[in-house]
Amino acid sequence: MEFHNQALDKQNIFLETLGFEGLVALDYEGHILALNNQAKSLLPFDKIAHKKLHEALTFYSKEGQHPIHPNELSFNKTLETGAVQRDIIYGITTEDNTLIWLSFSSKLIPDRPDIHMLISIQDVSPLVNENKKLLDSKQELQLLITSLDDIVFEVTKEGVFKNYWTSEPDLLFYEPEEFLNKNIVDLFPSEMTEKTLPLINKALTYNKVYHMEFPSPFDTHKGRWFKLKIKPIHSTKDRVAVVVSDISQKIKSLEKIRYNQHKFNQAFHFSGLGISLTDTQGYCLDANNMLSKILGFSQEELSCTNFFDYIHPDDINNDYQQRQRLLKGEMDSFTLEKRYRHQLGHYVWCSVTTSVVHNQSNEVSFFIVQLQDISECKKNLEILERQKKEIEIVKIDLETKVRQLEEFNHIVAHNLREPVSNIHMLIDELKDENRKEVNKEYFKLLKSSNNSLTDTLQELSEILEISQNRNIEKVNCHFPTIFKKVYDQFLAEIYSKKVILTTDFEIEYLQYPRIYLESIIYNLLSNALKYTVPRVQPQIHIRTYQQNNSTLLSIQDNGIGIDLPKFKSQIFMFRKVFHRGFDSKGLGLFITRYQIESLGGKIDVISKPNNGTTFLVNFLENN
Amino acid sequence: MGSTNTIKIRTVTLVDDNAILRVIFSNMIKSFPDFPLQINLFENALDALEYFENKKENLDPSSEIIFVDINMPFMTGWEMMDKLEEFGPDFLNLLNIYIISSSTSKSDREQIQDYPFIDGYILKPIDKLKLYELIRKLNNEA
Repeated sequence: MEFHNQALDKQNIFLETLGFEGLVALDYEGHILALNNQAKSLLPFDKIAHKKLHEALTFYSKEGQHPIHPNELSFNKTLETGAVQRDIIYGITTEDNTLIWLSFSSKLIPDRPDIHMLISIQDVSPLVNENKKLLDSKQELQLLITSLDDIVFEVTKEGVFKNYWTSEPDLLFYEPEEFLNKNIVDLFPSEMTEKTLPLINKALTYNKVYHMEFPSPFDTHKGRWFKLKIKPIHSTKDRVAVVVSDISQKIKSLEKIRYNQHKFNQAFHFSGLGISLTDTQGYCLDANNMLSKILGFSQEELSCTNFFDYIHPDDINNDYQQRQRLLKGEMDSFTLEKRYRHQLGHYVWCSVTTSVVHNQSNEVSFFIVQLQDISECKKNLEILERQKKEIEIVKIDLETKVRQLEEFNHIVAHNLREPVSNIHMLIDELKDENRKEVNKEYFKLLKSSNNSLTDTLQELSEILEISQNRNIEKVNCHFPTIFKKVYDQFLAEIYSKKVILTTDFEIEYLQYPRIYLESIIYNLLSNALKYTVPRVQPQIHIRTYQQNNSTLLSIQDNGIGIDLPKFKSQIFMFRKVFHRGFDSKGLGLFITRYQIESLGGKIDVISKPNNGTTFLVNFLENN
Repeated sequence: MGSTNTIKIRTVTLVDDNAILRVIFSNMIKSFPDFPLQINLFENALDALEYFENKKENLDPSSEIIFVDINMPFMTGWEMMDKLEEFGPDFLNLLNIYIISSSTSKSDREQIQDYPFIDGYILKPIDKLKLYELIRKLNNEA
């Protein structure tokens, strides 16, 4: 130790002359012979004294900081091969466990007997650390760039590409070697560079950022749109950063918005429907020409119109309620038919569809109201309805006529042909008959048949008269007066049968042919008086009343009743007789029905055997 | 005409409200020259039904011919046919039933198809000679 120190001290003079670097002298085996003070401060002297330097410490590589095999160390190579090694940097750990970076240069010293080799050491930690920091920040920058979709170029004032950063080299129009250090003018079409170069100059002159947008000038990126952001690089004064972003997506959506806007505009202005945008209060924000046409207001008048002032009072409530539902978000649109007051004062029937438009925060912005003028439709519908009603009336009338024709056919087949066939047979018999007695009888029968035929013909012509007599004069008939007249005709029968007869004329007057009304009441009362139950006091109630805007007459009795399921279809037929033991020709109800039906009314019957009968006449005088 | 060995037909019944027809018809039957016939006259279907109801047990239906008018008070000829159906097919198939009517209308004529046991539809006026033919024909059927 002592020796070494002395040896070093001796060489100190020599060593000092080399400046601030640390110096280590080694023997031919690599043992440390001496170090100067500078070296002592750099290397842990206690650990390395008398040792071979390359074995005494662990050296780390600059790249990756992993330990290096002692044989690989630069000064060991010098020791073994004699080759000079310069400025090789290794890291070592100090006593306080921090890493310092040292630069080692080594060479043999052949002209000195006491020293075999000399190593100079310089502390380069600040440099290395600085360098590492730079590397780190470069890496960070790289990372940052890869996270961007944009390409960044560094471009000179003249337009020469100096550098680029991108995460996707595919985005570049050229291979890097093809465009670096080339002028933008030589690379891109003039219509683009003519705009770009002045912007670069302006950016530098005014120290401002400029933008421009352009479509891809090359087929390889056809249809794409790019945005240039030209930004001065402050540290340089003559260079700009050009940031290129692909804005195709944005342009596409803008285009779409523009298209939609155009579409809506076209639809709005040239629609066959009247369209308005109205606020939630009903004020018109915008309206198309068709709306002006439908409602007769000019665009100026519409612009200060509240539509609620022009909706028909009967329709306003429904419309308002539906709008409230729209506002609450219960539905997106609704359609209803309502009337608007036209500028000229009349009402226009419209089919109206109202839909709601929300803003981004989902609040109602406005309503889109679409109107279709359906007045013509409504008018036609009304005409159709009226015609339908008319047809219905004609149909009922025709049905009645057809039924009457069938009845006439029946009357001819039976009631008319019957006496004719009698006469026919009697004549046949008379031809061959010689007996005087029989002849006399047959002549009597012939006469009787003839009378029967005449009677039937008489009845038929009466009925025909009724069905032809549509326009028989109607007068203001007073029910109580007419009833009194009929009542007087039955007075004897009413007294003899001790009939309880009550009346209730809620309706006193009816416009009707007087003779018909008399005949109807006569026939119905006659029926009620005829079919009474023996030993039961007959009760008859006559009533008139109003129902469905029509006058009804009912005559109710407590007589023997009719088996309706069996006889209903025949009850009002010609010469139908259902009850034995009564003097009945079966003509009264038939005539009655004819009189009623010929004036558009109806007669119906409610009855059960032994439970009385109610005849119901519905005059239907207002149909 | 025909063999008189066996006289099958014994009774002719007429149901018709037409009093004049009843007189003429009755005279026609009484004057039938081949063999004697009994004649029953009814002015309505109710009485006729009552008669058959009572006689049914000791009556040979094959010896009977019934003529029924359609258009009658209280009960039509068709309603009487409905009632007759209750007598059962064995009785009705042997019974000779004819509808007589003055109606030439198709609907009346076609209605006999609803009653398979009805043997025919005879249009009024009734021809005496044709009536006799019918009786002979029925008598000869065995």
